[in-house]
Amino acid sequence: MDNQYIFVWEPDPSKSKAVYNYLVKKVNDRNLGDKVEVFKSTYIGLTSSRPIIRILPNDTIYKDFEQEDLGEIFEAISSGRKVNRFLCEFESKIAPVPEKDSHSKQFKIVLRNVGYLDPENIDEYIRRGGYKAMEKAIFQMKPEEIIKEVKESGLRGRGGAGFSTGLKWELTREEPGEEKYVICNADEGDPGAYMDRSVLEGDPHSVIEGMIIGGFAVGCKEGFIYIRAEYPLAIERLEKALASAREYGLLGKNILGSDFNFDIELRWGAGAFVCGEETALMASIEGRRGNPTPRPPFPSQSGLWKKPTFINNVETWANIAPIIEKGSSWFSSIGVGKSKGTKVFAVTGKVKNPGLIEVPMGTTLREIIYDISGGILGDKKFKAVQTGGPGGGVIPEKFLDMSVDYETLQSIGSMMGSGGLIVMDEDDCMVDVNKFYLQFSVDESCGKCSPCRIGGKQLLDTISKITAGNGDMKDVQKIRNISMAMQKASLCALGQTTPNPVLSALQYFENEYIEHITHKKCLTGKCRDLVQYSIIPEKCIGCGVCAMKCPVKCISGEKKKPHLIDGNKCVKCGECFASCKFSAIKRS
Amino acid sequence: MNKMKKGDLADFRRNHKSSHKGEVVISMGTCGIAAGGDSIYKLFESEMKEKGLDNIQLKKTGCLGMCFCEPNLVVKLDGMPDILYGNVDEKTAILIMNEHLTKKRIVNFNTIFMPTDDIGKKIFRD
Repeated sequence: MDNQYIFVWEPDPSKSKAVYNYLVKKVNDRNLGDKVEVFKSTYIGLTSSRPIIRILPNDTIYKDFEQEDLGEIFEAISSGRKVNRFLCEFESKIAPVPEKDSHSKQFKIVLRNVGYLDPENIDEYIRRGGYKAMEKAIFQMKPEEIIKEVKESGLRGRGGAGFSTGLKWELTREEPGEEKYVICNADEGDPGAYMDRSVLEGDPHSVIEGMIIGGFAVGCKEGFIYIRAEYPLAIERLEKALASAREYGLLGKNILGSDFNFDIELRWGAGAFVCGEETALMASIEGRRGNPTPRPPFPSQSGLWKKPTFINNVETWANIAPIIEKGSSWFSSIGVGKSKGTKVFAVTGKVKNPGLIEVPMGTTLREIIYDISGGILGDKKFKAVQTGGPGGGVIPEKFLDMSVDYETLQSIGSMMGSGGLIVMDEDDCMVDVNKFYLQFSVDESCGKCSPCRIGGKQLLDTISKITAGNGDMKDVQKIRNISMAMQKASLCALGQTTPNPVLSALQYFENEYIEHITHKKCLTGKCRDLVQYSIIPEKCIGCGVCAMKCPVKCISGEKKKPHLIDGNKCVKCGECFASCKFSAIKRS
Repeated sequence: MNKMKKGDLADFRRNHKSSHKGEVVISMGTCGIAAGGDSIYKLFESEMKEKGLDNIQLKKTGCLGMCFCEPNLVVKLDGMPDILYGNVDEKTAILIMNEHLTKKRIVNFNTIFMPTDDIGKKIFRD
């Protein structure tokens, strides 16, 4: 039998390592030190509220066992057997494909190479099967067949709106004219989202390969990648990738000796959020100011330089090569309903293990937050999760078990968006969060249409008034009216979606707004104008910790005697409240 | 390099033979570099040369998605399971080189797991 490596993960690192200690003792008692090794693991690929054991090289996972079952598990390990009742295998209800890893709730198609290969070395990409799909597309498939595959795969735009990718390609192909363009939208700007950056930095060739296939299918000679200048490393790696692909004859004239010519150019964006909107993006590529224009005409009819153009997001492009390689039925067997394939999410906020994950469509938010990302930081109570960035909405706890797909998210007032998932706990104030996103949208509004330019500002002013304690119940109706006007009349998606976070917060957390307006209170202490800190003299022992922590030195008092906060100087940062071990500081 | 023609890609894949007995892959996306991944890379580069570990390849890669434990790296040695280490500082890096790379002993420190199997390899299997 091979050497056995046992990895033990226990939920709270500060508590006793009961499982680890038990197994180490067993190994020592039996003198198995040179055959079985036990390790502490800080993350084991999945999380739970109970300990998990993972054994290599066979990769067996045990979970949901009790301390007294460990003896049996250990015997099994040392004799090469398995204890079936504690085995952890995820049933394949969401992704019943052979490539699935039965030990993980994640499924990596877009991120298939990220973390495995050197992004600056084209040889590694080719060795892992890179450009195989491109070769197949150019030499074995007709353009119509490629479009049919992409259409039947059910792939939808990963940038947010969720329009069928294959249909977009078909519409562009059917347009008359020789000159057509391909664009990759890499202008990722949502706060807390970095999916596209990671793909471009970790696997630039997957995007390039997808674009070549797209260009061949639609009949284009030229493509553009519109990327923000704030991503210098991604730009550097893309430039290298493009240069080496040209050198190998995979890009440029006569690709792989065929008569197909195609080249890709990089265009840098200056980092305006609105330039992620397709019409504004194309204006920016042409060298004009990045303002959106009304649709129709759609880019497929009249896009870049008034020529038929199709534009897809980074993540969409990275999906193309696997679809061509494995076929549309393979891809469409992953996912649920009308949402096929996988989605990459950047999970940030108050979770234990923030990071980049990719799950099949139809995974629930609870699985993402609790089984993959470790649950809420400090075991606090979950409050809401914001999906879809500043144009999405907040999702309260009651929807945690709903599946994550385009339709479901829309039905509860949020949207898929590009994939930022910001998790909030009980310490976050909804009104304050709304204010943050509104501030972002107002800053990023291009100012061309008045519903967005003026409406956004008015919404922000109204909410600022509420957080300052000057709110009126009439303001809620005012917010709803302005929101409706913005949704109906704004020119592009930026203005149309700006009110979404506020509307969903009003729907699910209306009592918090009412609390702010009628009682002038912010229970989380985030809205500083509504908070007062004071010291309860009976509880204060005069240790001086709060006075030391206070950044503006507004706490004074003698040692061992109750201290006092000077309300005029206090900036309401809450440091004293957090640092007092005797609960002697009152927040009201 | 000559321009590739039809069929050359498959030959390229077939004819490749690695001269290395293992690899150390350091996560170096913007996030990894910001967390100190590049100084860990440099440390490995110089120390591995000094220790004569030239049959092990040192590689950069993109973000593994485990932002909570950057900088992180994977050690893949023939005949041993792939091990991912998180929160690698200089001390841990030296320990990994002295124990894992030299003596083939896994360091009982900051070990974590790849979130999934290598699915990309399975999708494009020949």
